[in-house]
Amino acid sequence: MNSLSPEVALSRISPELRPLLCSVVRNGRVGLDSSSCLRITDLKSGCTSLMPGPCCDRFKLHIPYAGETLKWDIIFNAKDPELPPDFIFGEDADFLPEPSELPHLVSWDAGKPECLLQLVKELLQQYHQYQCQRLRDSSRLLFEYGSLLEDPNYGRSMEIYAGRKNSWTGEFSARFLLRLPVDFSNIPVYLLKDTALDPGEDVALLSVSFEDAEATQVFPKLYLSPSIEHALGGSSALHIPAFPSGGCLIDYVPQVCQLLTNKVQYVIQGYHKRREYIAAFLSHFGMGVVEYDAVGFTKLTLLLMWKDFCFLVHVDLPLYFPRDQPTLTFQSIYHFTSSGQLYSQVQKSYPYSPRWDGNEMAKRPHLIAGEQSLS
Amino acid sequence: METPEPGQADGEERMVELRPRTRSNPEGAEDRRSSTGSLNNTLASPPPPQPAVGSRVEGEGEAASSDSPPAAATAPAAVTPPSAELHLRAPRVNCPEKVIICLDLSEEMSLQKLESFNGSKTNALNISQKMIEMFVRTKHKIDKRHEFALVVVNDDAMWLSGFTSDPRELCSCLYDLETNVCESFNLEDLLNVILQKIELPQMENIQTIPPPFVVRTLLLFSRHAGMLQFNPSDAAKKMLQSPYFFFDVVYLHNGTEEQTEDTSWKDVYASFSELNSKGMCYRFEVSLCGPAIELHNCMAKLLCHPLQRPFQSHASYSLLEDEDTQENEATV
Repeated sequence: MNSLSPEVALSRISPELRPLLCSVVRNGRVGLDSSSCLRITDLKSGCTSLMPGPCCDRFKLHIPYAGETLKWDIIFNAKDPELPPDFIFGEDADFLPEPSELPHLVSWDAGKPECLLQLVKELLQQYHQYQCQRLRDSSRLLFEYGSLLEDPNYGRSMEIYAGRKNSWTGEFSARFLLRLPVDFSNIPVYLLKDTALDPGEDVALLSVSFEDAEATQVFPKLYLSPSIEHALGGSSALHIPAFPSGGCLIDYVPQVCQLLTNKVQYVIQGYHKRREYIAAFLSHFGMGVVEYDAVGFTKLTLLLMWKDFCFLVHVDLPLYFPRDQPTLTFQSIYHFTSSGQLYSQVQKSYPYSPRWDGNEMAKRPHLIAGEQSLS
Repeated sequence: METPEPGQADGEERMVELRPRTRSNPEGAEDRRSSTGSLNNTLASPPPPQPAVGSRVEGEGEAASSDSPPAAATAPAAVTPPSAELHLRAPRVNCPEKVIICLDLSEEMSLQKLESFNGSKTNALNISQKMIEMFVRTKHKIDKRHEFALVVVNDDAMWLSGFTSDPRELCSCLYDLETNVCESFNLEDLLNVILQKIELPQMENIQTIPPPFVVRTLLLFSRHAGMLQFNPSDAAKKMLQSPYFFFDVVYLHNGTEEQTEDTSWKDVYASFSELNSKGMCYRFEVSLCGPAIELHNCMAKLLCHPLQRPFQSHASYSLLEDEDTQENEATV
């Protein structure tokens, strides 16, 4: 069944329950994957048809967790809205949370709009514990879990799903979802703000699926929030090394973190280096600049003159500058090609070293431009 | 950065004042160039405190002001246009341009006097058409957000095409034009035609917040119709004074020193400065009897983004700084 939009759900729920539902559908992010909202389906009422609407008091809540979607029934009583709800935890019939360990159930206050959302979060924590218990069926995976738990970098932001044992093959599988502690805060702002609608915070999640209890079939996958993915160069930013056979998470996960951190560093460094490069060019040629990208420093066009002869130089600076060399395009202002296009020549293989500073780089194309203008 | 007091007496000094070190003026580079042209100042001093790169500030390319004043020497004292008053400058961000190309279709444009590369004679209209095509294609290549419009001026002004960001659309209107004898040049009419088609941005803080676009009029003008009759309406005056509007002129003249009807081309050329109250517009004068390359070069210089280009008197495009070296490089 398709999920209901927040507006529709809120219009059909019993009025006394509306504030509780509101904080779930509007602000409801409970797990590591903050990009997906909680969804509502199967909104129903336990009242008789004689009761005037709206009077829905029960629904299914879809919760993203460890790459799965949990479907929990939440059942209120419209005639007694002060009471806390009942829960049915999908097919996990043996998930029996301890009520006394759920503070928002113990001191349930129907008057506090965020009470339901908080209770769901607490239940999810217990669900996570329940899943971790089930890892006992595989000593190998239990070891993986234990070693991560001890590491303060990862131990506190994990979601684990231990799948059902396949009753035919006796096989066991599990998925670990980890939030990677990579610092994205220094990524240049201009790289982040262009992507449309990034509701959650900037986050990197690593999902590792174990298809067997002996960890011989392991499939890692990286998820980045959309603006981070864009800032790091698009889908190529999601490439991570394969899980080494015989390896373990406590070695692999830091590797992936380091890879991401390096990419972030390259991007930040690239921005600063491009800025320095353009500053140096402006120092040398500032009085002849046509245009330059004053936000991301990715391009610069100069007008140069030798005797009476003018020509343009377009400089394109790549994302991973200075590792990647800038492209110089020389353009004539007097001529067109036979097909009516601007007459220009691209230079990608001039002498270059990423270790030169901005000033050195500004001087070199100076000489190349001299050669080009004579030819 | 504090807005300077309007009553500040020394208008010229204000012009060479260092601009705040901003994201659009990296390392304060342009202002740190000392009069000897040396780069030592740029290299020696440590990088100035910049706003944190990751700080989530709204506004594209917002130029945040730095707290500490720049330590480097002041910019070279150059001649600034004497008519320039105190005007606030927008930050040097390469925002999209809306360029209105105004082409004079008076008969002087079809006089075959210009000397083209191969020595044959050509006319200004021909060269102008090619140059305009080069201009729009090049601007489009640099930034696809730039937009262009074409206005032709006979006895009055007519809006032919635009705004469009597709250079081909503009160029398709460019080549079927004819010149004719024109009486006078109605500058007010041209300004009114422009006024009807544009709406200039209004920004809260001119100096720090970049505008969403700027408007630039590029007038290619050749008729000898006496001094400009210029009585702008209030709306036109306001437009000319806006920090986001620029009026660049290329004046194609007959080059003679003769006085015709009490005005020489120099007087007409000088009268264009009335359109340049902020001192930030560009003007060029080119002789119709000279080499066509001059006209090409003017158009190339007009490629420069109005918010990022220097004052015209500061502009310098030489490849080689040392004139002597230039002589040596002449051997091929």
